Amino acid sequence: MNTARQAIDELISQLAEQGYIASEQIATTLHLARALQRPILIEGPPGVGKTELANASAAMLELPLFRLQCYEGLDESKALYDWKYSKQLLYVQVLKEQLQGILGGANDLSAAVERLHNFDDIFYSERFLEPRPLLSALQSDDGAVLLIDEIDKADYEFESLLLEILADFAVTLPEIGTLRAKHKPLVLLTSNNTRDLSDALKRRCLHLYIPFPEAELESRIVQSRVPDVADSLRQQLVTFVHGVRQLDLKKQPAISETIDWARSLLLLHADNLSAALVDDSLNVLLKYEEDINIVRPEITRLLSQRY
Amino acid sequence: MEATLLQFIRHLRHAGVGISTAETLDAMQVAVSLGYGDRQLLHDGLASCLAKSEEQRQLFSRCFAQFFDLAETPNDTTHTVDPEAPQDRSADGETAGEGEGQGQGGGGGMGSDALRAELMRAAGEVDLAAMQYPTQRGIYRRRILDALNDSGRRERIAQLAGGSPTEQQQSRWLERERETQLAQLGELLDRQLLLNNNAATREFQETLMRDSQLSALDTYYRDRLPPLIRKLAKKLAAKHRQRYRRAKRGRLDLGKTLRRNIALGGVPFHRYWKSTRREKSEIFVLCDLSGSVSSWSQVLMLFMQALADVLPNTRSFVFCGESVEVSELFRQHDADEALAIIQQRHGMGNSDYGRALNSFRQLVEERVNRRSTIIILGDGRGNGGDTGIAALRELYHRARLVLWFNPESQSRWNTGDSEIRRYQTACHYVAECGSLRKLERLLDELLTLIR
Repeated sequence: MNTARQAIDELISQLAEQGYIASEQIATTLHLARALQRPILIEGPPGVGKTELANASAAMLELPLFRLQCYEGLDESKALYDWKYSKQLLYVQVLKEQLQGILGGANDLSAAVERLHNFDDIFYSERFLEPRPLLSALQSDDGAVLLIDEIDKADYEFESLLLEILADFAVTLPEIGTLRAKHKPLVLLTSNNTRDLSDALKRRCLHLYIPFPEAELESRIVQSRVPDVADSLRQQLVTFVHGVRQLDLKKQPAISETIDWARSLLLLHADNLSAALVDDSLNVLLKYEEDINIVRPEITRLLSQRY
Repeated sequence: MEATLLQFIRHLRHAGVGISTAETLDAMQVAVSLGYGDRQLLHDGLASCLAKSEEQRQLFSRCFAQFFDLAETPNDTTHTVDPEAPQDRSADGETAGEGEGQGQGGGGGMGSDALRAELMRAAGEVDLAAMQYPTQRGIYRRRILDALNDSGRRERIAQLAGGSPTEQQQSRWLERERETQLAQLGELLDRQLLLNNNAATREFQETLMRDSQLSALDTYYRDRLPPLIRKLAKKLAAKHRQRYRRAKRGRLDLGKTLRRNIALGGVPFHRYWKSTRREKSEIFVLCDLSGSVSSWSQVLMLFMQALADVLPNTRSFVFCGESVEVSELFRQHDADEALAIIQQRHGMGNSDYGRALNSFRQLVEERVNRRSTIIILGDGRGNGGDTGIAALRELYHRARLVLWFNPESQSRWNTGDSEIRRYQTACHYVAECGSLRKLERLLDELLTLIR
C-alpha cells in the first residue's frame, strides 16, 4: 500500500532533479501510466508545462523523445510512415538491366508476370519504409517517450488513426502487415481544449488536467527554474501574477510567462517589485495591449496584496 | 472492496459521468496498484481514469467525497464493540453522555457504531442500493425495520416497562437505543437517495419533457428546459461536426496530378487533391413572440444559440408587430439573460404577420441568396389581418430553403384564423414541432441538409 506512495514520492523528486516541479496529481497519473501502460491525455491552459512534462519524463527515464506536432491536415504519411518514393524509383532505374535478364527467357506476357510474382513485394518492404514519429517511437529498441502535441489541432480522422496505436501499441500497414512495438513507449498527448476530443480517444487514455498552479507550487517552480531570484522578490512576483489571474484577461499569464518575467527582472537587477518597474516590464507578462491596459491601473493594488 | 468500487462507479454514472466498461477495468487496476489505504492517492488515481474532462472532474470530486464518507461506515462491521467498555461510547461524539446505567443492560450494550453496523447489515439484506425514487422511502424503511426485528424489540420494551425498577431502566435504555437507530436509519435513507442522485427521477422527467407539448408544461419543468436543450444541441452538434470533417477532404484529382507530373515521366511525385468548396450558408431565424407561441420561440432560439458551434452564421429575428433583429443581444448576454431581455422589450401582444413579414423582407432581402436558409417559427394565426404572403413568397424565390415550424398540432391547422395553408404555398416545407423530440429531429434533418 505504501509502496505506491513511495514510488510516487520518488517520482516527484526524480522529476524535480530534471527541473520539473510536479504536483501530486501529476506524479500519480504518471505513475499509473507506467504501471498500466496507458497513454496520458494532458489538458490545461497554454503554458502550464504540458509539453515540459514530456521533456522531463524523457530525461528522467533516459529515453529518446519523439515529438509529433499536430496541425490541421496532418495525415498518416507525415505522422506514421511514408514510402521512400525516390529510393524506389532509383532502384527501378538501376535494376532495369536485372529485370531484363530475369524476364529475358519469358515467351509471353503472362509468363513474365508470373516470374515477377516470384519476387515478392521487394519495393514495399521495410527497407523502403520511411518511419515518421509515431512509427519511430514504436520501433525504438528500449522504449521511448512519444509526445503528441496539441492533438486538438489535428483533424477528426487523425484521432481515429491514433486509436490503434494508443490501445495496442501496434500499427497496421496495408502493404506489410501489423508492426508491434518492441517496447511499449510512454505516450503523452496534450490538448489545449480548442475542441472536444472523441470519446473513443479519451477512453483509451488516463486524463490529467493541469491547472494554473497554486502560489506555493508556482513559487517553487520559479525557484527551480530561476534559482538566482531572491526569495522576497520571488514571493512578490508570484503573488502579483496570482492577482493578475483574478482579472478578466484575454490571455492569462501562465507559468512560462512568470518564469520569463522572473528572468527579465533578474536581468534588470531588480531586488524588489516597484510600481514603475512592473509598469515597464508588464509586456513580458501580458501579450495583449488590451490586457496591459486592464492591468496597468491595478498595479498598486496588486502590489499591496500579501502572499 | 471491488463491490464498493463498482457501487462508486454506478454512483458516478448516476451523477452524469459516462463511464465505459473498459474504464471500469482500468479503475480496478488503478485501485489494485494504489491500494485503498491512502485516500488522496486513490482520489487522484481514480480521477485520472474515470473523469475525462474538467467538468467531469468536479462531479467526480463531489461524488468521491459523498460516497467514501458513507462507505467508511460499513467497514466498521469488522470492528467489534466491547459492551463492557464505557469509554468506547463516551468517546463517540453522537452518543456522549448516554453512558449512565448501561452496565446493567442485559442484552443490548451496543455503541452507536455497532448499532450502525447492524443497520448496514439489514440494509444490505433488503438491497437498499436499489432504491431510486423518494417515494420509495417508506417501503424501504419498513423493510429495514423488519430485518432488524423492530416489532420484537418494541414488544420487549413494553414488557420490560411494566417490570421491576431495574427492568424499567433497561426498557428506557432500550428505547433510547432504538431512537438512535431510527435517526441513523433516516440519515441512511437520505444519503442513499443522494447517492442515486434521483437519477431515475431525472431520466423520467427528461423523457416527459421531450415528449410533451411545451404549452402543457408548468413552470417547474420549464425552468429545467435550458440545460436539457443544451444537452440535446451538444449531441446534434457533435454528430454533424463529424460529418463536416469527413466531407472536407477531397479525392485525388487524377487529371491535374498527371498533367503536373508529365515532367517527371508521369510518375506521380506530386499529388493533387480535389477540394470540395464549402459554401457559407447563412441562416435567418424569425420567431413569433406573441403569447401563444412565445415559449416555443424561446426554445428554438436557445437551440440555435447552442448550435452556434456548427451553425456560426445564424441571425435571429423576433416579431410581434415589426420584425427586430436580436442577434446582437445574444452576443452580449448569456442566452438566458438575452431571452429575458427580448421577452421584456418585444414580447407580448398579438402577432401581425403582415407587418412582420414585410419588415422582415426589408431587413434581410439584400442578404438572402441561394445559399440562405430561412426558418420561421409561428402558428400562422394572424388574427384575420394581412398575411404578408407576398413578402414571404419573394423570399421563397430567392432563398435556398424556407422552413416553417408550427408548434400547433397538425389537426388544428387551418382551423379558425389559421392561415398556415396559404403560407404552405410560399414555403418549401411546413413542419409540426409540437414537442422537443420533434424539434430535435427537424433540426437534425436541417443540419444534414445544409451542412
